[in-house]
Amino acid sequence: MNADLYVPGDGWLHRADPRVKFAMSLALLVLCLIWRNWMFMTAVLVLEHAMLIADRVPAERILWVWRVLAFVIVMIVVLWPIFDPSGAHELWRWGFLRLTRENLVMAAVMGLRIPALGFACFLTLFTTSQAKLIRGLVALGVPYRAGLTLATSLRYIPVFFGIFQSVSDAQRARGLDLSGDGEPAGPAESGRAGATGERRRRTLRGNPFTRLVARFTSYLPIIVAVLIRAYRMSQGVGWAMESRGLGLPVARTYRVRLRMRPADWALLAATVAVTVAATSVMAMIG
Amino acid sequence: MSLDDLIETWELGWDYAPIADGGRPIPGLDGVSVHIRAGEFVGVVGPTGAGKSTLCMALAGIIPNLADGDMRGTVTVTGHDTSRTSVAELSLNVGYVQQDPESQLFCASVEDEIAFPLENRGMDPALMDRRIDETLALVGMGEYRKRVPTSLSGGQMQRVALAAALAAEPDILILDEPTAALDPDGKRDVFAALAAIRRSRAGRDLTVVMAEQDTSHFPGWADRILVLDRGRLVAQGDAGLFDREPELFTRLGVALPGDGEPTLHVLPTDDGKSTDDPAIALDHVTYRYAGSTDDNGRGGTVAPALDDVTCTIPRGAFVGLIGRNGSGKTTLARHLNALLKPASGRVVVDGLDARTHTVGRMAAHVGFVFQNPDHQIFCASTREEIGFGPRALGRTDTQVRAAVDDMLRLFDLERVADVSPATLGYGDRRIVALASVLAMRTPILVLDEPTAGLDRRLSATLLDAVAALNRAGTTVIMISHDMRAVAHYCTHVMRMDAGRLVEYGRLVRGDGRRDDGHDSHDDHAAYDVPATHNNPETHGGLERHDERNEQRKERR
Repeated sequence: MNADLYVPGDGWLHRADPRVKFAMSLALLVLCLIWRNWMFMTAVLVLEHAMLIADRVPAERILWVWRVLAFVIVMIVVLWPIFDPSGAHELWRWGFLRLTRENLVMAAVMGLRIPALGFACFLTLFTTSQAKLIRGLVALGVPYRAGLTLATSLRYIPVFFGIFQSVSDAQRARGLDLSGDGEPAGPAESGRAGATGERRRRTLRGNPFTRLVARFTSYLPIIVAVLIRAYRMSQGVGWAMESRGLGLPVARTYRVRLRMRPADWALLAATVAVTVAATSVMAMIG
Repeated sequence: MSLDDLIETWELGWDYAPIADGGRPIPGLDGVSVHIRAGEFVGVVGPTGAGKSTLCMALAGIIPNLADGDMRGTVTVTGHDTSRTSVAELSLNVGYVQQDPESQLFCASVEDEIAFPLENRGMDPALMDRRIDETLALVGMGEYRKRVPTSLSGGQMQRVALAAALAAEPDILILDEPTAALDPDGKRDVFAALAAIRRSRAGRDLTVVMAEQDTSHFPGWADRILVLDRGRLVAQGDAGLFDREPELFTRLGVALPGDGEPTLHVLPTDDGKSTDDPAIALDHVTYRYAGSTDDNGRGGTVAPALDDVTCTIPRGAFVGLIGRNGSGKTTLARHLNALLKPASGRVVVDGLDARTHTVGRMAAHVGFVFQNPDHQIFCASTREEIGFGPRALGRTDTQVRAAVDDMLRLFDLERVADVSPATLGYGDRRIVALASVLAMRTPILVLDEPTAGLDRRLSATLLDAVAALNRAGTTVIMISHDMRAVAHYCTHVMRMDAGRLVEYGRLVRGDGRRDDGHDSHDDHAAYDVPATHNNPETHGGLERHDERNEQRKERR
């Protein structure tokens, strides 16, 4: 990813008051977390996509969210039946592994919940500029420095993605092996190094846990270099902020002014209505 | 402090706190006493690690308020003792621009960057829009008001940083090598913006302290030049100092204002197909970045980053890869070690088809030195850092030890062999990054802007070592904007433009002869630097510098 989370635009969500978008995202997050129903999750996902498309957020950004979440979704769907063997309607059993109608439905619910939660956040993040995000948070009583820290962290996520990629390239170019299989980058050479490498490869092939640890360990050079770079950069950011007057003992003003328009009140009312309706249905059908 | 003095430092000293536990403090400044009058333009020059950035940080109040270390002496700015005044309060009078564009533009739009200091001062929001427009117009960035800073070039980003520093109308502007991380186009942009500021009414009353490696504008602008070396003020005077004491600047590795760039005369070659065993063969190579977008961030069909590039580089060549930013230099270089695979065409390096080999496999054949040393450095000691590459290639302990010892000796790094390289000054970090790749002893070496942001002496230290390897048979590809270095060290030149190879051939020397060999590398006078591999000035200070990300621009 090499773009900011915020997608510049002028759609209806972009124009909406950030406080209303916070309320909308929060309502969706809470409802998705407490109601384990696959139909509700599907409906939320459809609603979130419809809202983003109606706001003219490019399809490639929506697909980017799916790409980012794909691994987590697959892992949850695959692992859920393994760790939750409950359910009365058994479909298949092999040793400790037990597939039931209930745990398969729950795996699907959990698989849908991740993107539903993700898109609930991205409804706000894709459509709220850094300035409006801070302004909205401050208007809700969050201290300015906390809002600035949060917004600046979001702003630098793509920058750190880029740094990670650059560092990764630089280390691989020095022969860093990221596969974790212990194979030297160069031609297998006779002597101690070659023999040691072969022994290590044999050991690692047979042990998935050791291999996982080795793979993680192989990323350490990249992580350390990224942290060093991130430290230097965050130091520069802090200096730049203070040298532009952050922390002056005067009442801060804001270029961006917030005003609840009729459309914002309508969106807030719709959010409340949907939340109440969903909660009522949840209470009725359990 | 006289009534005319706006800034006064008295016996200013600064030692950076050691970054690692148990480390030694890093000396930054020692006994610097300076008086700067209102309205003066003061140029600060000196070799890499001389303390230029440290002095700028002290004048902006970063030292001692935000940086970790020990300060001696006093700094008084507009009557305020900086040790008793916060950086924010000093900012009412002082604007400060750092070297690294990326870490000082933290907002999501250009207009928000300019609004930030105004909001902090409690300015009436109704007046902000006009002030933003005026300030951006001053630096020639009016049409970029709504743009995301990260989508701008390095030069444009620095102009926005300048505008943000000027927005609150400070009395003093501190510029810490604002062009050090920029390519020639970016430098021109920033200097043009500074010229416009000086012509403006506000600019005429502005006191400017500007640290800079590029001294070309100082004779016309500077009322005074401060020369720093190893943290001490070794000379000061008007801009005539460059004419009166040229040997001082040459000795320190500081470029003199009159040093123009040489014109390169290239004798075109055929495709080089006569070469039986070339080091590198590029055959109709085309590459396009996935998801390329135009300047407005829209997707669509854009020109390829590499467009039908064909050439053959003989073994033992020292190739200067030149061209404007975004012309495809870095994209081409990244094909040589398989970091990128061509969309069409073929790349053969050291007899291997780069398409069918991983980056790790190519590492045994191609050493790649990236521009930013911080992208490489991660080990706990310099010795381990240099040994990492050879060890990753599967070399024996004996071979690794020998390679490390060679590099420590060659670059005089024995004194920091057991020190964490991340804690070294910028010049030393660059040397360690180069040494850690040279230790891999690959037959082909690719260098991405190895001299960017370095003084002449340190540049020569690095390039002399590379030239020695080249004489021993290593093929070198060097991306560079430094035409003096290209003219002095290279045997061949490749010039890229808009993804196409527009010029390739042997470099013709000034005397008209074609460069067929490597003998000329011994002539240090041509690079105006003393022949040395040991530059003690680089070892003290903590110069900060960062690369502009050419690859990102090429993607755009």
